[in-house]
Amino acid sequence: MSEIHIRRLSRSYGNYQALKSCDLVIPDGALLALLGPSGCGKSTTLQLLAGFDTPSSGEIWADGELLSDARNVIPPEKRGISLVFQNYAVWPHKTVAENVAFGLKLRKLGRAEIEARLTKALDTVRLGALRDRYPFELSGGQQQRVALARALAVEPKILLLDEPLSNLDAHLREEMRFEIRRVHDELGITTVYVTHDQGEALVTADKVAVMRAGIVQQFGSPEEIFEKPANTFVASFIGSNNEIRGVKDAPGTIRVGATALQAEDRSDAAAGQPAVLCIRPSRLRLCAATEPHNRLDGVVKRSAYLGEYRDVLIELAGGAMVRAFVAPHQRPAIGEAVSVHLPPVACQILDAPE
Amino acid sequence: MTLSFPTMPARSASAASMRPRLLRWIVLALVLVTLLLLVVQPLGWILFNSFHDDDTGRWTLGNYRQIFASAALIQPILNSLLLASAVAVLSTLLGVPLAWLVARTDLPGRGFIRALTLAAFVTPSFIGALGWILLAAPNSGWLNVGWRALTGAQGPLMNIYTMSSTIFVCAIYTVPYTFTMVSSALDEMAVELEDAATTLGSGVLRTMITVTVPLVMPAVLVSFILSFIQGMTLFGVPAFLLTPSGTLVVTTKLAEFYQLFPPALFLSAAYCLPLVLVTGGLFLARNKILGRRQFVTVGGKGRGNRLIRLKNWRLPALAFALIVPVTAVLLPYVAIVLVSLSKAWGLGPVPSNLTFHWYRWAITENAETQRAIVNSLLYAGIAASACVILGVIVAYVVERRVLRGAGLLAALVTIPIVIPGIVLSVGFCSAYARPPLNFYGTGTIVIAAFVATFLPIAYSQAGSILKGISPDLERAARSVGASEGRAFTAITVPLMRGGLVAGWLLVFIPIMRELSVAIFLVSTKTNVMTTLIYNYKDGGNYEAVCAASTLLLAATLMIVVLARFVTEGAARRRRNAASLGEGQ
Repeated sequence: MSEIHIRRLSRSYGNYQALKSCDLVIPDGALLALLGPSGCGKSTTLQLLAGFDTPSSGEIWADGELLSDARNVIPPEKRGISLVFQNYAVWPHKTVAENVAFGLKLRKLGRAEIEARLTKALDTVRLGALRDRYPFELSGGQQQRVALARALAVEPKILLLDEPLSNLDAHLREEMRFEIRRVHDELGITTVYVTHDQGEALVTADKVAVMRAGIVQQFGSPEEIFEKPANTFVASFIGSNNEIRGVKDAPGTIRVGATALQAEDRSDAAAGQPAVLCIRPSRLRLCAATEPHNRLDGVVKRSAYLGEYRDVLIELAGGAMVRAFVAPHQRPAIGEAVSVHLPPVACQILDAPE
Repeated sequence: MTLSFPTMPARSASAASMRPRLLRWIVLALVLVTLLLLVVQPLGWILFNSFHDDDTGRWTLGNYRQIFASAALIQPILNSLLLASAVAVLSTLLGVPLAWLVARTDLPGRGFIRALTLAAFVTPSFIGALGWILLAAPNSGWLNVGWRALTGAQGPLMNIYTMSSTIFVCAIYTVPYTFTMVSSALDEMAVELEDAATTLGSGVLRTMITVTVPLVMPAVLVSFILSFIQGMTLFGVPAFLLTPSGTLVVTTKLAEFYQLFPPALFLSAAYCLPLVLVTGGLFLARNKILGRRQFVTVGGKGRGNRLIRLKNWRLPALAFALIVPVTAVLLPYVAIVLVSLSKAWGLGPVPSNLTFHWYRWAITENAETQRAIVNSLLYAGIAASACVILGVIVAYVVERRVLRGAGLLAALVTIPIVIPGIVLSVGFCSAYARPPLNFYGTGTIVIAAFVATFLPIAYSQAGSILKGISPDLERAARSVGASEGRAFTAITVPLMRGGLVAGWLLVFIPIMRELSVAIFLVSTKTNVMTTLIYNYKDGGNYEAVCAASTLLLAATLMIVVLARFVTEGAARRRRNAASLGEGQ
């Protein structure tokens, strides 16, 4: 259990800057998700944390101990940090029990202690019955559990998970999300979880750091990230999002075409400058053409029935497109003129992307 | 975001990581020094010597001038080029159709032909040449004797001591390289690639010309180049078949320099250089052809039993496919074994002529053959182990990018691939037959030369095994507390093991049959089987030579059978391991 401080951490490979002056504090016992598209620097951060890579500049601290800077890197085996790999990296020549006990044997523990901790780790991931199997006799999900048990058995101060679910099928992935969260709640190990899947991040993490091009875009709780995205990148990376371009009128007001709309203002744009109105499709509502506030009018271009909701694409008067997820019993026809209401609490004004 | 950072003094990171790094540097330094001694030092001496005068010891370009001015020195180079080109053409013409017939058609006896072609692979070509002397020496060769008896002709049916016979003998022992490379390219080619053409309406012949041939073309070109290199660098066959008629090639001319008194060491060093330039240039061409394809195999499903039906062509095809097995293995083996069992081979294979005397002699009576048998096994064992250890360490450093200068180590272990054995032999003579490193006449110098020669094979073998082991498997060990060395010994080595045993045998077998590297380095005490056979042949005692050759062949074949057994087991294990270790 450890608090991690990452200070101005950078990593360049030749001219390519994989990580640009990243600052993060991960509280003791928290589960942080590093979330972003490929090439955003999340895996680099993880490799630096694990000690497999050397920072170009900046520092990594855990519990007051300097783990890495540009000159010295404590080698991976001495950091008390366990890593679970994307491809599991379960040793094919060892049984489940041998895989999990490997780290314990390195610590020269007594036989009884090894057995006790092995059993506990296997029970934690519910693999006790398969301890004498070889990895090629296991399914992908079971191998993933072996990798997790192996990392947990050595009782690390910090646990790192590198896209641990990306090789599993969709059904198993969903199950394992909760599994990882359950194990974390059980053991309370400070955990860093790298993923490109926003669903995974929202379900499992206490804190999410959204990254892009080597820079942390936003660091906050899942609710904050979803409800109050720091910029249009975060807004569109997490969940579906509408971005409607407009011009800022005054703080809290944005003009889209001729219509002025009220919204929470989190942009730096001055009045008269372009800005963007962001709203989730699920927060838009079809309304009467007489709705006096925050209303936009348009024509239905496409309507798709998805069972739990209907995904409606609307072309606004100015030519912009918005998506609205409406209740499935509402059946706006293609070509029909509709009006949508944008509740001010669900709307945010953000800076227009460069 | 505001951050407050702990200001307490951190435990020094460098102290914690000091010890493993020290060990790492010691290992790497040892490897580097070994490679410098094995590769750079001998080759350096060749280069250095080539610019010095044999009599005065002064700097000179005279050696090179002499080579290009003297017809007696130019002619062997021309002969070598002729031999090499003819060998390359002939083994391509024989090997490529043979590979296709065995890999793709319903030719009868495919397994038998494949096995005998592989037997040709492990047969030392100079022993094959020996067999052909017994068969086709102009007066006493059995085929000629039989020919004369049958037809009453005066002249021989064929004369083995000619350039064209030498080309033929070199080629039949080079065909296995072509065969192996082309047939594995055919085996690995995805069956879907050909099926795709067929579904678009392409017939058998058209598919072969438009899909199959272009896909195996790199393998064909590369084996053509390798055959050419073989033709340039073979020593035993031209020494047995061409030297008697006074025709010299570069390698046998080099041997002649050594037999002068005093040996013309510096002139011979200069004489090596054209040979090295040709092999080096061809090797670069090979790499260019392979390019990035070097490591990519066009994977696909098993071929099942969908073979091209030869129909009426089965018998002619079979006759063609038997050329190499019959001429490279069956005929010479029969001749050698029969002679080894004869009191005197001139009496012919009749019951009264039968004896086990020569085997008894070789195994229990003659100290020279006994010592050579022991030496062969011992030197090959030590040298193969050293090769594999060096190869694994360098391959690990290169594959896992342990340090920045890894490319240099890789270059050092790969260089000997372009150095003909006879040249390396010259280099070792120059480097280690003088103070302060005078190992001449010891087993050490022979072993060292073997190691240097076969390092490239061991290295590429180790490299391809390591490529199949995901580095994450090692990192996983690091992350639960294993040091770099521990991760290597507990995870990497066990995963490599099956492959390494096969790799060890792949080095051991060619060392057992290697002649040209050892020829200038052995003494009466350090003779190995091959050099002893070579020397006995000069003495003309064919029965003894054949008994010794049979023993060597039997030992090598036994090891090959063992190797196949082990490799197949390892391949099965590797498939299991690979399906887990690789990123899925």
